[in-house]
Order: sequence, then C-alpha cells, then structure tokens
Amino acid sequence: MNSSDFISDRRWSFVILNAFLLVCGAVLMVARISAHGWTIAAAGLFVLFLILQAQIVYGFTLAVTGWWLLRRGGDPVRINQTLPLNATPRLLPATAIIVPIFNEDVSRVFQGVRVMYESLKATGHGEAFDFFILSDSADLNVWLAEEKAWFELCKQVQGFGHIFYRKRRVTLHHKSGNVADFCRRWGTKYRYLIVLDADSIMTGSTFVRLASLMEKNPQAGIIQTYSRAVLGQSLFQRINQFAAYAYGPLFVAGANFWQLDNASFYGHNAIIRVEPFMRFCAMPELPPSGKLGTRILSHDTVEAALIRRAGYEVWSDYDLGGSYEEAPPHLPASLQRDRRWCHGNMQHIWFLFSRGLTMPSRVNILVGVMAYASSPLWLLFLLFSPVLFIGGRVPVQNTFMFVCAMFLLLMPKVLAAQQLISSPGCRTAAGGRVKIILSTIGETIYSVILAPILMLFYTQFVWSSYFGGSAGWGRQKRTDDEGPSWRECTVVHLAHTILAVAAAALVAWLLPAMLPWLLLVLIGPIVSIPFSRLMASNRLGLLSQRKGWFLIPEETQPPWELQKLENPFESSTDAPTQTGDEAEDFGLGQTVLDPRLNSIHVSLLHERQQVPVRTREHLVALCDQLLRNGPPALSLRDKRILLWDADSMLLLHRKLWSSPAGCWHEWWQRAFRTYAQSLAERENAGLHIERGHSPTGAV
Amino acid sequence: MNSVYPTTGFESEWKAAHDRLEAYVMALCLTNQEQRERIISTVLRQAALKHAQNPGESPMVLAMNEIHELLDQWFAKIIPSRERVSVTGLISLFAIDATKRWPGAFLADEVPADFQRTLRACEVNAAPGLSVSRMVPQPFETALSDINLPTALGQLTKDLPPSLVTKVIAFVLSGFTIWSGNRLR
Repeated sequence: MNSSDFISDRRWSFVILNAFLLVCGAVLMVARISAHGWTIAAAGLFVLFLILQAQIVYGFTLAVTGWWLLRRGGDPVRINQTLPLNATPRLLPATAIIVPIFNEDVSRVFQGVRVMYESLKATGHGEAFDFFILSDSADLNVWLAEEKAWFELCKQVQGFGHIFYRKRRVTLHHKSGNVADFCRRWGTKYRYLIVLDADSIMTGSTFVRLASLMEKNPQAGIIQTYSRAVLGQSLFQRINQFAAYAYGPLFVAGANFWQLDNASFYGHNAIIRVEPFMRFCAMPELPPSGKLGTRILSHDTVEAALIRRAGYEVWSDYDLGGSYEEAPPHLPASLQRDRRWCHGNMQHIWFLFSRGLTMPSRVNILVGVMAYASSPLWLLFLLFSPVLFIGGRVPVQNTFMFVCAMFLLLMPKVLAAQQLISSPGCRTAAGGRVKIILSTIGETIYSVILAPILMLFYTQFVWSSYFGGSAGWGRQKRTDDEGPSWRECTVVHLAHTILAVAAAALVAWLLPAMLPWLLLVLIGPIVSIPFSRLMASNRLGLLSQRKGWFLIPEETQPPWELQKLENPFESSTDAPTQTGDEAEDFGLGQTVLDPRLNSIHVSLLHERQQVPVRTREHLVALCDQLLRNGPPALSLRDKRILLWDADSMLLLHRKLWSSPAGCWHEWWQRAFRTYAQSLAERENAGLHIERGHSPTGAV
Repeated sequence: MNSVYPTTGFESEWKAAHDRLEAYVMALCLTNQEQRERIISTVLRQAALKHAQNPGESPMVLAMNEIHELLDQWFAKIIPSRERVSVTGLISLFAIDATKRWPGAFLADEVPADFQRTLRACEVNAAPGLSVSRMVPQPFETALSDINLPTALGQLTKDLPPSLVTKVIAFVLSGFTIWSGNRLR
C-alpha cells in the first residue's frame, strides 16, 4: 500500500519538524542561561529542559499533524482505506474473541459479552466468531458466579458452542500468561484473535471489519482500534471521555502519519494474526534487575515490537469506530491502575536495547517509558529552576518561554475544539459550539490542576518500580457508585498537600519573584483532596451532563450496544444476595447445595486421570470437615482444592442432601434455610411453578 | 403421595424425608406439581421398602439415595454414552429448559421422542476440543552495541535518505533557527 520512500519522507519530515521545534526551544533556553552564565546546575537544567521539551514537542507535532490530516479529509495512507467500507468477504475465517478477566464485576462482563454476541449475530457473520471468557479470578465467589453467568448467557442467547469459559487453575504470568495459555490450547484453531478487556465493548460490524481488513492485508500482524472511553458517570470519567473524544483523534491521526506500519498496540480492542503471534510474541523473561522483576507486566508494546521484528505490520485503525472501553471512576482508582502500568512501562526500558527491534518500535517503547519517567524529570527541573530566578527579578525571556510552552501545550486543545466545531455532526453531538468551547476550557483547567498531582504520584511510582517492590496485579476498579470518601481522599493526597504548602511557603520566603510561576504547579497538590473528592462525584457528573458539558456522541446518540450494556445481566435463577457470616463462602455454599450449580461446576472441571488413594482419602476428610465444621473452618487453599475436584463436589452435594440437618454445622443449616426460602420465594413468585395442587406434606 | 404408608420408622422421620425430598425436586426446577408428587411418592415407596429391610438406616438418607439412583438410571437410559451421566444429563436438561418445554417428561417412564432427541443432541461444552501447540518465549537479547545512530535512523526512515523536498524543508528550518537564535542573543 505504500512504498519505502514514501514512508521515509513522512518520517523524515516528522523528525525534522520535531527537531526544529526542539532546537527553537533550546536556543531560547541557551539565551536565557547565558544571561546569567553557565554553571553545573544550569547545564543540568538545560539537559532536563531538552528531554522534557522533546516530549512536549512530540505531543504538539502529533496534534498539529493530526489536525492537518483531518482537515484534509483524513490520511490517505491508513489501513481502513485498503478495503471499501461496504466490502466484506463472503466467508470470514475462524476468529476467537477473548476476554481475559480477573475478579471483575460478573454482571458487567457477561452483559458485555451478550451485547457483543448479539451485535455480531445481527451482522450475519456470527458463525465465524467464538467468544472465550478466560478467567483468572482468585475470589471463589466471583469464579463460581462467572460459571453460573456463563451457563445462563449461553442458554439465553443459544450460545453453546460459540461462547466458552475457561478458568485457569494456575494463574501464571497474569494477562499475558492467560492469553498465551489460550494460544497453546486453541490458538491453531483460529486465524485471528481479537483481544478485549473486561470493560471493552465492540460492535459486531467492527469485529467483521477487523477480520476483513486482516484478510485483505496478509502482512498485517496486529490492527489496533482506537477505543474510546464511554459510559462515564462521575465528573472525572466524563471529562476524561470528552478529552478522548475531542483530542484523541488528532493525536492518533498524527501518530499514524509517522508510525504507519509500525504502530502501537494497547493490548486490547485489537485483532492479532495468531500464527505469527504464537511464533514470535511469547514473552521472554527479563534479566534480573533489582525490584523491576523478571516477568513483564505490560506485554502489549513488547508484543507489537516483537511481531514487527518478525516482519509483520502493526497498524492503528483509528477511524474505524465501534470500539469502546470504560475509564476508572475516580482519581484514586486511576492512580491504582497507573501504578501497575508504570511498573510495566519501566520494565520496557530493557527493550530499548533489545536486539533486532525496528527504530519506530524503540520510539514507541520510549514514548511509553517517558509517559511516567518524565514526571521525576519535571520534578528535578522544578528543583533546578531557581537558577533562572537568581537576582530576584523575572527576566523577559522567562515570560516569552512560558508563552511558548503554553502555546505548545494548549494549541492541540484549540485545534481539537476547532475541528469539532467545524464538523456539523460532531458539533451537534457534543452539544454545540458554545458548549464545546466551555467544555474545552473546563477540561484545560482540570488538566492544569491534575498534571502536577500526577507528576508527584508518577514520581513515586517510578521510584517504587525500581526500589520499592512489585506493583502487584490487583482487581481494577471500573465502577464506583459511592466514590472515595473524604477520608480516603485525605489519606491518598495529604502528604502531597503538605509538601506543596511547605514548598510555596519556602519559595515565598526565599524567592518571592518565583512564586507566581510556581503556584501554577503547586495549586494542584494544594487542592488535591477536595479536587479528587469532587471529581469522583456522580452527582456532579450527572449535573454536567444535564447542562450539556463534556458531551460525547455516545451520550447524545448512544448506539444500541451501549444502551443495552447499561441493563444488568439477567439471570433466571438469581440467588439471594448473602450478607453476614455466609457472604464470604456464599458461592461455595450455593455450589454444594444447588443441583443445577453443582452440575454446572462439576461439568466445567477437567477429568482427573487417577487420584492416588492417599489424596482421595485426604479429599474425603476435607469434605467431612467442610460439612461438620462449616466453610469458615477451612483455609482458602483447602476450599480451592475441593472446588477443583469434581468427585469431592459431587460427594459434598450428595452427602449434604442425604444427611439430617443435625449432622451439619450451623453454617450449613443457615445456608440451607436461606436456600430453601429462596426456592419457596421463586415458587410463590410463580416463576416456575404451575399452579395446581397445593403441596402436601403428610405421609 | 398419601398412598405411601411406611411400615417401619417414625412419622417424624418420614416427614423429614418427605420435606427434604420435596426441597430437592423443587431445586431441580420441576415445574409440574403432579409430576413432583409422583416422583416423591415413587421415591418414598422405594425408600420405605428398603427401610423395612434395614430399619437402622435413616429414612432421609434412604430417600435421597433413592432419588440420586433414580436420576442416574433415568439419564443412563436416555443418554447412555455419557460419563458422569447425572451431571451431564442435568446440565443438558437445564440447558434445553426441559422442565418448561416438556413438563412431565423428566423422570417419566415414557418420554416424548423429540425431548429425548433434543436432550441427546445437547452438548454443553465450556471449551472446544483442544488443539495443543507450543508458544516458546523468545530469548531476550540485549545489545547496546547494536544500536548506533546511523543504523537506527536508517531503520526509522526505512534505510533511505530524505528526498529533495524534505532536504529543502530541513535547510530552511535550520536557517530560521540560526537566525532567530542570533536575534535573541
């Protein structure tokens, strides 16, 4: 689709444009420092300035290039152009859609799969696609609820044979291990693999289009879609999704300008060619290096680099549409995710020096690393910056440099707003001209406050990645109706607030001329506690939506997939929610008691070849202990052992139902009473029973 | 139901057995009241006969063993070739919504042919058949010496020098930078 010299020209012009802006900044800085004379501190400041300026310039260039391309009706060189919009092969190859999950909201995950399955079916190409829900859930209740939801979903949508569920017994290597495990078991059955996150949603037509594009472009190894954040409720989510809607297209279009066949991969909402992925993209172990760890936490960028090294192309299909995800509900949840991402991105430093990678892949890796590593550099820059204020007066060049920096930072927002306003469809969908301008101003103020808060946290994260241990792989918070309390926000932000107030006081005392400049940076951490709390508010989010602020098309004209996603997953046999002592082992109790859940669970377990006699005796003893002493008496490990053994689960079910209640532990008596009550309620509600005779109890 | 008159055991024991059995068939999602009573009566009758031979055993244990045996036998008759026949039978039964679509057929002596056919055809698989293959991690090779700037830039720009237009743009921009730098000084 493109010749090498064409690619070469594009990349050279991008490099030159970046270099030009960088040199302009450098010239200004040299002029400023020269006025005071060069010292070691000034030289250090200059080096930091160059690194940080390069990052800002890169973002600015992306946005301007993207804006220019969009103004011209889109980049003529993009993967989506290789196939006419209405073209679809008659027969699509077998494609697996995988949803790796880890202790997620079961209802949301399965409602998402239902929506996507139905959307896919409506395209008429559903037969070519299989869904795999790949669970690594460690919480027993979540695991058992997933099994139940899988069965219900398949039953409701007639999805047996097309929707599959797998729970890994040993959850090695997190998500990348889960994906690799899928590939080793079923990879060869499928030509393509579409990877989703637990909160991803893609429309059926997008799935079909992705598979068709892969068919059309046999050299394409990965096609990444631009997944937009949707369904936000809190103000934090709504502002972020507006930013993704308004600014995102400029940046991704600009990135496509120079990346072309060497784009980034974000690990989800993307299609992968399975065969080369399996051959070239198994994650290597990193060399031991202190606290960074040897297992790669963020696999996506590395996989893109490895598949590109093998000669396959990686494209960004940024204008495809129909690809969505959900953003964290508030700042503390977002920081939790960032901590993990930061650790993963810091590990990528190794790949900057890995043999055989293409230079664009190295640039992509570097951009990912700098997303976090620039924070400590900014902090250092701020610490060095008093060099420019020695003498206590504000030089003209500082003002000029400030204006230049603001231009580079704010211009992309201005261009994005202009782009939205100039398109009638987008303008209407985002609430009209005035609302777009007000929302952009609002988002800019939000960013000014947020940026220094993130800088301090990211600095901590970078530090802890190298010196403070693993970030772990906890459950990601995707929704939160309540939001964090004032107390939680205080715990998260108090240290930074104190630090910022102290820094402001110190500067006011020693270098008062610097204070107005520094306040721009300090104001964020100073107000971070109320800022974090208010941004998490769903009420403010709803209010802003009613007022027409931060609107996105998915709010004003939502596709039916997103409308349907807001309904909870319906199960015909929802068990009562359990509270108190029984809640912790609710899933286990239900699986032992309920013949339906018991048979679903047992049928999902693998057949064990031969269990040694001593192991069997141990399992039987555990069963007895579970019934006699109740689930709380068993360790989590023992409960897990029983749940993984089909014979034990059958034995427990039969033993429990066959023995008099007096033989059970009190826990089971309570659980049985609740269970029987739920059966009676179901019957009284007339859901299943045909009214006729009244039950007779006499013998 | 009322026609079951156990000759051994206490009434309270048989009442408990009946209640447990009733709860169990309710848990099996049996929607037809008549069918439910028929099954309970059949099972209790069998349990009563066994209790007469072995009065030391609890009627509840006998009744529940009896219903599990009944399930095993009934499913073995309908879907003979499956392993863990009760488990696969029950899950298929729930998957096809049999108790709603064929009320009265579950555990009956005579079952409709279409019900039998549907139950046999029903395959509830959590995963397709395995197709095991290898995915071997690539060795990690780091080589700082590999990265020299000319090669790297060559890769970045597909090993080709910039075209004339790009060179002109670079020249003009460089000139502007030097000029503006001198002015600022």
